[in-house]
Amino acid sequence: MTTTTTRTDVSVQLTDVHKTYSGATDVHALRGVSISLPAGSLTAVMGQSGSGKSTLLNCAAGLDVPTSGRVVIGGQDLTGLSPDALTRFRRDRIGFVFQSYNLIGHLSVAENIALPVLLAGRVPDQRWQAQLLAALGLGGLEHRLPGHLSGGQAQRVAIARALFTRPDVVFADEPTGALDSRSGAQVLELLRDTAASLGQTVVLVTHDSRVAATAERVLFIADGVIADTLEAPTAERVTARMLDLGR
Amino acid sequence: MWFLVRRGVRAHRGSMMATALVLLLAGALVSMTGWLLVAGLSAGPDDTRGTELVALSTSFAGTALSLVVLVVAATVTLALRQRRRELALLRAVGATGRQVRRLVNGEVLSLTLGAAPVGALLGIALAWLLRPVLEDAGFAVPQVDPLLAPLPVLGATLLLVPTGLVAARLAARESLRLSPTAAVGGSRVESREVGRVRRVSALVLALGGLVVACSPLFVPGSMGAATAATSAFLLVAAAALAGPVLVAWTFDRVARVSNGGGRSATTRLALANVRGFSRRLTTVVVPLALMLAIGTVQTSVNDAVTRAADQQLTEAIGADLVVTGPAGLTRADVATIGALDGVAVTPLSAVPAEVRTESDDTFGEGLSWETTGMRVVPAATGPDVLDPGMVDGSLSDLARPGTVAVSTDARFELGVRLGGTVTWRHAGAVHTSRVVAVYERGLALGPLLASDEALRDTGVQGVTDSLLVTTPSPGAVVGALSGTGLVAQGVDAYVQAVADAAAASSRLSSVLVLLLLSFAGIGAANAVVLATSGRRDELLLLRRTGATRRQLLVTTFTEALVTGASAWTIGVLAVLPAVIGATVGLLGPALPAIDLTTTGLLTVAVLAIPVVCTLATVARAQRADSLAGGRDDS
Ligand SMILES: Nc1ncnc2c1ncn2[C@@H]1O[C@H](COP(=O)(O)OP(=O)(O)O)[C@@H](O)[C@H]1O
Ligand SMILES: [Mg+2]
Repeated sequence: MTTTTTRTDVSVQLTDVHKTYSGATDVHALRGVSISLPAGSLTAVMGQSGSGKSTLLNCAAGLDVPTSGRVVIGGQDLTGLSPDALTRFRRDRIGFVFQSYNLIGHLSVAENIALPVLLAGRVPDQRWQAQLLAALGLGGLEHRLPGHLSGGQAQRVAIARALFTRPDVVFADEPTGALDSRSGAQVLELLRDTAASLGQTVVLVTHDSRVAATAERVLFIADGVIADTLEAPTAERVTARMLDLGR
Repeated sequence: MWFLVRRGVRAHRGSMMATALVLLLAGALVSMTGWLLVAGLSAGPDDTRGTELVALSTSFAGTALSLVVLVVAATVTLALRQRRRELALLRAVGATGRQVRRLVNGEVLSLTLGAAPVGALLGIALAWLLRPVLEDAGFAVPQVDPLLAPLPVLGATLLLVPTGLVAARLAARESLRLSPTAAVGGSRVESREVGRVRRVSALVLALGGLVVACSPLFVPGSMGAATAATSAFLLVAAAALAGPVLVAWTFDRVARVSNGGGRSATTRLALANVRGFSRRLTTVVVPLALMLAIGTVQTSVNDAVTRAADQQLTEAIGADLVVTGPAGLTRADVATIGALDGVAVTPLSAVPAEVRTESDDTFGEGLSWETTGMRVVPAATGPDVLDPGMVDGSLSDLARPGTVAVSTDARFELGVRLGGTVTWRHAGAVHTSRVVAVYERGLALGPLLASDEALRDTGVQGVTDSLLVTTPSPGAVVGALSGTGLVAQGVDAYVQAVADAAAASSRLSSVLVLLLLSFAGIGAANAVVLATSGRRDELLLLRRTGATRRQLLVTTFTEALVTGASAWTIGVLAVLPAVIGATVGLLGPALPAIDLTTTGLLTVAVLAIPVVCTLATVARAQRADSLAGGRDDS
């Protein structure tokens, strides 16, 4: 394995990524996506349901393997890594927040957060954990089980877990999709602030123009390709683009 | 990792308990068999009681072990399948494939090491409880050194640990093949693909099963029948492996035929569920099918053997009457009856003997003694009185000293030929006889036939247990015997009496079959409960989507019925070759001997277990959900 750790300013780089789900009829979920995201940036991904947003994030995060194309994260080429090597890389360098079903029901909040570190065979940093919990407003909930948390609290725990390994990149796939707008906004704000303070790259799928407007860049995806990119967005322009795409 | 194992075990108490229960009972069954085997072996090769017990426990072990392996594998698979989403999330969070396998192995290992030894101890107690039944059936259980007790416990554990681990490995592989996102994303439909290894193994097992089912055509007697009986296991195992393909295939056909029919929403939902979750269905079907298979195959093959024995006995005896007495017949009795007017008598005697079998390497010894009986008839007996169905030589060849005739079954089992020798012993003295004839009716007359003349040099004397009487006036003989305590019967009545006596001693085999059936039944019930409780989320979702409580119950009821019916079909298909093989091999072209009572009862059980267990689990889950406010995590 050659570790091409040429340290650059580019944190996430996808080159002509294709993803086809084979089945009774093949689904071309991604049809040639190339993006390049600077380190420490916040990028929003928008698009209609079924346009390929989740597939894009899964491929970029090494959760799924693209059919063709190259994915480079923090200088590491994910192409051709063995499944276990990929898992280890993901565990140490990438954080991921799913839309729902993020937590293991029979592990406490603290254990869920520390899980990637425990799986890596390391001792969790207690002070860092307390700090994260406090920052995300979860103080005092360490020993709760996920079943006894509100939806917003559970998503914040998922974010804490994604941040706990101090990853280079955090991917979040509609992390507030299952929440009401108030707690959704709150969760996103926490994610943004914490990631910013750690200098992390964040890629976020959202349906909310106002959330997207807080990003440095918005990628619009339609039918498996990047249909448009908006730098320094405002809520109005994001809404306008989305309406354009819908037509 | 260990904290994950510990938490996992605690969190999944329900399914863990179910798995542990099955492992416990499996341990009990295995160690009970093992204990009987140890008892037989520790009596030493010279002890008749020991060799009989060894024979019994080894023949039982074949069935018991196949059953245990299949049921334990099904249970572990189901218990782990419930947790595919959890395992996928673990992987998404950073667990490597190896870690997931280690986690699963750790859980299964701790469960097995906890449950199997306890069950094994129970098994020894069970063997002890079985003593009276064994003694009733003429088996004596020798005293066993308690220091040997760890042996069956160890044996049970050594069998169950790899079984559990292999099943766990296969189940883990199933969930590892799924991409972590697919599982986390909520797609819960199973893959219907069956790997090539699995496909090929299924084919090999199925073909092997069919070949084994034909063995009565090549291997004579009860041995061939017993071999054929094992084919049912091979066929059920084949069905277990190929299950998803079979189920999908069947349902595609059914769906095509019944498409457009006015089926209700609930029926349609039930069929869609069965089809979409063919793996789950297969795993539940296996223990149910096994239950049906064991029950029918054992009783049917026994039936075929009994019928063949009766038929052979009826054909063998050409005399008019058979005289028997409660304690056999004395020389004086024989002389008195023989002196009656116009009466010709042929005394049949029995000599308990053990015959030496070679290369019985199961127990590490090159030689061992097998308990059998030797029939003794006068060499001058004509085929009109007693016809053993000679295929080589004749009864008159037995007139020379040191000769013996063997049945075709024994010829096969002992591996002797005409002109070869048979070594046997009686009352501690070893004798060698030359084989001068081979006969066919071994089920009726036993494996060895000798004559008084043949035995003269050995000094062995049999006890006359029956007297064949040829007479023009049977009524006169019956009359003459009244008040003597002796009974004179026509051939049919005599055959019936022999069959009744044999049935009494088959209580043991009924008890053993019942033990196997109970285990399979508990395993099946367990599997249904596991499979149903693993679907809480799905049922809850249906409820929330607007299915009424009644619709939910009807859907699950229909599914359970389909499950039971599939199990019944697979069970019957798996048993048929064995039953046909045994029937044709033993009786020639005849209607298969199927015990209708047993089959009927088992049919009811196979349909009732899924229905009752499913409905009970669904009802309980709904109650729990409404209490817990319908949270669908964990
Ligand atoms: N595991 C899968 N198997 C087959 N098709 C899939 C799978 N996952 C997603 N798809 C299909 O790929 C396309 C893109 O899906 P997805 O990336 O989930 O879209 P989005 O997240 O934008 O809603 C859709 O048409 C979807 O049906
Ligand atoms: Mg999506």
